[in-house]
Amino acid sequence: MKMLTNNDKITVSQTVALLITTMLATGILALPRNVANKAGSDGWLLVLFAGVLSFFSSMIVGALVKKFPRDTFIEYSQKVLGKIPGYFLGIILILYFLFISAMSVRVFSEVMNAFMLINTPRGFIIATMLITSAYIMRHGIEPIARAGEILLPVLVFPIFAMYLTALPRADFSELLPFLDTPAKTLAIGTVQNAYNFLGFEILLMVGPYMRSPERVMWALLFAMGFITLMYLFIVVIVFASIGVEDTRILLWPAMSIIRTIMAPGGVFERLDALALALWTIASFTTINGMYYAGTLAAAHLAGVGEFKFFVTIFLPWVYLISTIPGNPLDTMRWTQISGVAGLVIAVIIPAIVLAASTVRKKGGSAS
Amino acid sequence: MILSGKFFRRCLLFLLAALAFAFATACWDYRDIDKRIFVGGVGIDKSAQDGRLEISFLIPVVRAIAGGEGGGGGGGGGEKPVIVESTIADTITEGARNLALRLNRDLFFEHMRIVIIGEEAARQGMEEIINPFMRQTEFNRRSRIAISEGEAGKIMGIKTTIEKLPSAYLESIYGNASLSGKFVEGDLGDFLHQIHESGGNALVGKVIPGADEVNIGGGAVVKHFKLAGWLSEEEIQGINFFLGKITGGSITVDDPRGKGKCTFVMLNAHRRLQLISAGAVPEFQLKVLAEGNVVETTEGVSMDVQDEEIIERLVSEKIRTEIFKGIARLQNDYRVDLLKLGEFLHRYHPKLWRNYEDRWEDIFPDVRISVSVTADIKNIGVTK
Repeated sequence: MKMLTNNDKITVSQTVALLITTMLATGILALPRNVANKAGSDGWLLVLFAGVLSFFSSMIVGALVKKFPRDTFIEYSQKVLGKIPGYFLGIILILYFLFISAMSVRVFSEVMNAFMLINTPRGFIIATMLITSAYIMRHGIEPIARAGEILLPVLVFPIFAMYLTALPRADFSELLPFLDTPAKTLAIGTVQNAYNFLGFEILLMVGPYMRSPERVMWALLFAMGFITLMYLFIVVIVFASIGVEDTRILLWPAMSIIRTIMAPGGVFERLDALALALWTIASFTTINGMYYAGTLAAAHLAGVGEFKFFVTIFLPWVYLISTIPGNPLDTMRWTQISGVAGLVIAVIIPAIVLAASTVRKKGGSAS
Repeated sequence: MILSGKFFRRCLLFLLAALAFAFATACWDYRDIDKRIFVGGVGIDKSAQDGRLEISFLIPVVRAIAGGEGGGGGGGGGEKPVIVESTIADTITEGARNLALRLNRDLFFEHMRIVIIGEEAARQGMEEIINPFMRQTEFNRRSRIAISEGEAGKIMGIKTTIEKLPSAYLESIYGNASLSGKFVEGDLGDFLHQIHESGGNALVGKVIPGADEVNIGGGAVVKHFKLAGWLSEEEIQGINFFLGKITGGSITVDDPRGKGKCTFVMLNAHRRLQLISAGAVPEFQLKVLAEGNVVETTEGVSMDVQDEEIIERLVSEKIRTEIFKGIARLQNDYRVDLLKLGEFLHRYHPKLWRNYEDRWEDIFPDVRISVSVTADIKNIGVTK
């Protein structure tokens, strides 16, 4: 592996923080609607199943990281599959990461436009967000992971506390009937909602930057378990406080319920500002992770030691991709597409590479 | 040279900082608070023009309120604390835009406290009226909603005496659930929830305008997004018992010696609904446990254990009658399931529900419900 100018290593806890903050995105604001439409009051089960499914899929990526502890996907795919197919996969990976960054920033701007900055041009929200991300990214992986580590508690505790204030209004019989959905529908819904747990695929690029890659499975287990519980909590609270039927129609149910709750004691009548601040942080960290993985992939593919250059080069392209969807409904469709692409990138391609490396006996021992 | 490296860098830094200030003001969504009008309530009526709505906005005049409360007395004296602006439009948003031609400030709905829909408009159909409250984030789901007997505009126009602002008065009167169970408690969020859960049926608050006050007793029945009719105070109390929504209120019965009246004030009430049999028509059993205090007896009556039992029996009889009155009205007159029996079946007996789901509207009026009520006296005050 070529030495990069910035070869800082990240600890296991930083890896967990990076994974959680990358996975936790504004997509969760729409998640209750998606699962309610698929399985009604059984929707929360989909979250649970999708979390478990995603953990097992992410073990493929984990196995690759363990097998090639000093290489990124760009290098080992070329070693395993040969120069040209590996190169081709590398380009797909870059495009994917840039596309996901663009979609995350776009969804963020949609939420901002809907709930707070109604008249602010969308392009402006996107541009400021991207520029901020580009700034932190130019300093390399360590600051990004550190930002994740610092922001994680700032993000998670208030989110839990905020949704807990909805409890007095909650009616948990909304979660009934239990298991009334056919198994087939549940299975399909699980797969369709698994994309909400995407984000772990950054390990394809970030793997060799871990200080102790042999503990990658623990990092994945912890991050996935955490995210699953958090999503489950939010979906259950949303269902119980506004009902499954209302959840089906609201574009961003997890945001809309913030407007129906009032902090106890009437200290804060409105929690919207807090909620939007939290989701801004969540989107920021997601964009950081995805965008950084993309630029890293490009640097490795080009074989240059300087990745900062790509941060700047990709900026206008990410911006342009993010302006493709015409309206929120269009954005929804595009995020569905990006979800499918994500499953291919994060599960199917790594599985092929892993299988091929086992057959051709490449790479280190899969201890 | 003047453009030496250090100096140039400093200039650049200064320029960038200045630029940052220019961009950091969030100018697009910035509005001065004194350029806004905070709408306190919205009233929606059918207008004389066919198919259009007459929309009244209840607007507090901040200057008058502040002046009056400042203790100046004479200072803000003559000014009215609120104005009502009405306009004719097809939709609420169009109505708000119409006002831009007459008022110099922006209408701002974030702090809206109450929505009142006029009887005529509600009878015509509420689907299009309530839509903006769902779609736009500016309307908050915590504001109250009610249907007025007669015109909603009349309610907007009342001159309240105790509260300065009619919107605050109208909102807080709906918070009196711990004092009375004879009205429908719930906000816009609850209302939208009911409407979507049942495909257009809901129990909504009723409000009757008076000269300087309103009466919120009773309730309105909305069926298929249209106002079907009213329920009396007693019927609403019965339905509230049925739904387990009672958190207060009183029941007055004849006292055990037959000399006068005796008042039982409820602390809370629990209920349990069970499905007994599920033939062609399901049969339910409702058990209500009402707990409360005896607060008034007619002069001269001192109670002993027997009397307590008699009062408990009388109170539970009375509650039972009220519940049956409510049920009968919904089953026979309105034929609409506001008792949430369908929802109950759907949640607890999903397989059975599938048999009834399609014809539920025809089945509901024939559903048999048996009711048993237990009243429990917790306290009798400090006289015997």
